[in-house]
Amino acid sequence: MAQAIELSAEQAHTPPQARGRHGSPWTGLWAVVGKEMADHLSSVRMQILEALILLTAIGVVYAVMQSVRQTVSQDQFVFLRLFTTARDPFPAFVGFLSFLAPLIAIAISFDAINGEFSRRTMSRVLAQPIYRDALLLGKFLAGLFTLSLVLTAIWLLIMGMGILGLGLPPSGEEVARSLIFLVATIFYGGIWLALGMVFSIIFRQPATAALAGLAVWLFFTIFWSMITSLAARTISPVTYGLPEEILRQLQVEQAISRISPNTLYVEATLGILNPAVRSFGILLPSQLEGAIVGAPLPFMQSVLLMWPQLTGLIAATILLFALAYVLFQRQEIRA
Amino acid sequence: MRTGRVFVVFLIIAALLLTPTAMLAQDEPAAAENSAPPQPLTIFTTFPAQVIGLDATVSIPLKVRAGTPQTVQLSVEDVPADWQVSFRGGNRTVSAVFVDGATDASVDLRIDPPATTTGGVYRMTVVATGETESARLPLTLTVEEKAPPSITLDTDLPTVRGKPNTTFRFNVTLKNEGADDLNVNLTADAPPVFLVSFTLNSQEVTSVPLAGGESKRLTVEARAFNTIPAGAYPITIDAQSSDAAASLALTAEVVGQPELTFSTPDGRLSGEANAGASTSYTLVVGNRGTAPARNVVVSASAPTGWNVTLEPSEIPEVAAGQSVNVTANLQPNEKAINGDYVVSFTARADDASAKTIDMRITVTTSTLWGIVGVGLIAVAVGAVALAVGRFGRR
Repeated sequence: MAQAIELSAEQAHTPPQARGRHGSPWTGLWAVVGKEMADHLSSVRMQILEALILLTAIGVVYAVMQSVRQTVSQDQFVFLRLFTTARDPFPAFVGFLSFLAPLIAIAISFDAINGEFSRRTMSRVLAQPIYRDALLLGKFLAGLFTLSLVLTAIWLLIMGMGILGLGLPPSGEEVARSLIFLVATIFYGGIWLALGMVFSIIFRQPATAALAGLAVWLFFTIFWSMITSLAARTISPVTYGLPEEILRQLQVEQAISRISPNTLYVEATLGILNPAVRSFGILLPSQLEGAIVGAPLPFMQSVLLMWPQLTGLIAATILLFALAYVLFQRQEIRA
Repeated sequence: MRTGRVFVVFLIIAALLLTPTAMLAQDEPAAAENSAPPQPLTIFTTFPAQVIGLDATVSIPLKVRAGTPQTVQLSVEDVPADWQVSFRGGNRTVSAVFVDGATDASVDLRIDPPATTTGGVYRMTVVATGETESARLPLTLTVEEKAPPSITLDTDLPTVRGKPNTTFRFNVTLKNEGADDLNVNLTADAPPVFLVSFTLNSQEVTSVPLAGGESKRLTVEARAFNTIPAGAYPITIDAQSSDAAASLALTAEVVGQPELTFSTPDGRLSGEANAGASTSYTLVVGNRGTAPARNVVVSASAPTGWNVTLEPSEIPEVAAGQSVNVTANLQPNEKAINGDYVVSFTARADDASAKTIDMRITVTTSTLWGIVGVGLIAVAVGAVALAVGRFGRR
């Protein structure tokens, strides 16, 4: 807070403007980020979640290692198998992350704002020379950095265990692909983080905000696929059973399902972690004529393939934050 | 007393002598010694006429038979000039035999013709002269002049025509005309580019044992090491033994043949192409053969919706050892999904086998949509900035 106090001294020199702003709205941002991260990383809640993910990672990597060792066929991307191979009873690590990352994100953010109100600390914080812009962005960035820290630690853990278990270093392309995967996972968590923040602004009770966040998550995880097929049948019905109709219905269904961040995340990880994937859509046999099936795509082509999904995840995170920002700015905080 | 003892001994001897005679007389009355005339002196041999080789020493077993015991003098009349004859008995040279009258006497006549003998029929007579009578045995010796050692090589088809990569096969008959067994070594004198081998009963040989008069059918295989220009190549094969030799001239007539090669200048058969955009590759049609390749047609087989043009797609002639560059303009389908595709190019010529190369084309899609994605993020950031500007307090 020393930085903030220094800045306030600077502010004293500038003449006050009526209803205007003084200096940058992000003054004191990094102070908030630092404090919030300290809170997150020392909280019991985070430690429980970290332990959960750690156990998952160790279990999955151990199981995958068993199956990789039994496989004698040559594999150019054996390190990517660590993330994508499922072995009973463990699902693939990617599958684990697709529901663990939202859980961590919601757990971090569901009481971000309303927690300050319930502890009656909001007025005190804002009494400091910190704009509420900086407070909200600082809280969001702190959550995102915490999430990144946890996920990067798991990523390093898996790569390290992979090097130990497989006895060979990962290739540059494998590292690049798994790093992109890490970025996609962070922003997939970022969506739920921003959503949790939106709910923590809307609802004054932290429990309500947490339930609302989990409800949305459950809605997209379980009910969205049902709604998707139902909606596709309504929008583009198959009347005569023509191939064109069936194709159109499938395309509509896919377009609707991509509203869900889960679909975007699954497609993005599939595209980057499985180099043989060429397309997410429906492929006609004519499109596969002359194609060498199973040949890996070049790295940049794989990135290009999952780029819409990745940018979708990033953009959704930013837009949800913008929504949270607008809501927070319009809110009465003198409670 | 002495007279009486002598008498007794005489009686005993007489009894011993008379008893078997009497028994014989009872068994074979016709063989009685005194009643039949005595056996005349004869000299005979089982094979009185023989065929002998040059330089061969002949030994003819003779038998002499006579009714009464006597010494028989032996001689040979009419001996050809320089011929050596001698009678052999008991490992010695003899001139007379004793016939005891009961059994036949055996003697060998040894005839030693001189080295200068020529072929022909030679007669001589063996004369046996006993005490009272004589016998003659005419002998006929046919001297066969032995065939001199000689080998012949013969073939029906001395010239074989073929392509440079053909194995030229000549069927050759190797015959030993002489009487002696020979071991024949086979060698070939061919241009250095030819590898010549001799095959007998599908086994490669370098020497053949041949009995006198025997003939064997050999296959001579000549194969060029590498592509050779058209022309007639003489191949001389030599058969050699210690005493005789023969050689045979064969000709391998090589006709020219075009052989197409098809590749890219650096041999790389992979490349990238942007979906919907034309990318050009250079292909090289070469002729490694020995004759010009005519009417070379280059064609491409690509997935549907791809546009492949070849410039030039038809080449009237590619001379031997020359190559022609063909530019292939490849435009993948606009809607092609990215990844690896196979595009086959084929070069055909009139006389040569077609050559096909498969090129692995990695189709890349435009990065336009990537920029759109970045634009999407920029719009989102812009929305935040707008919100900050609009709702920023204080």
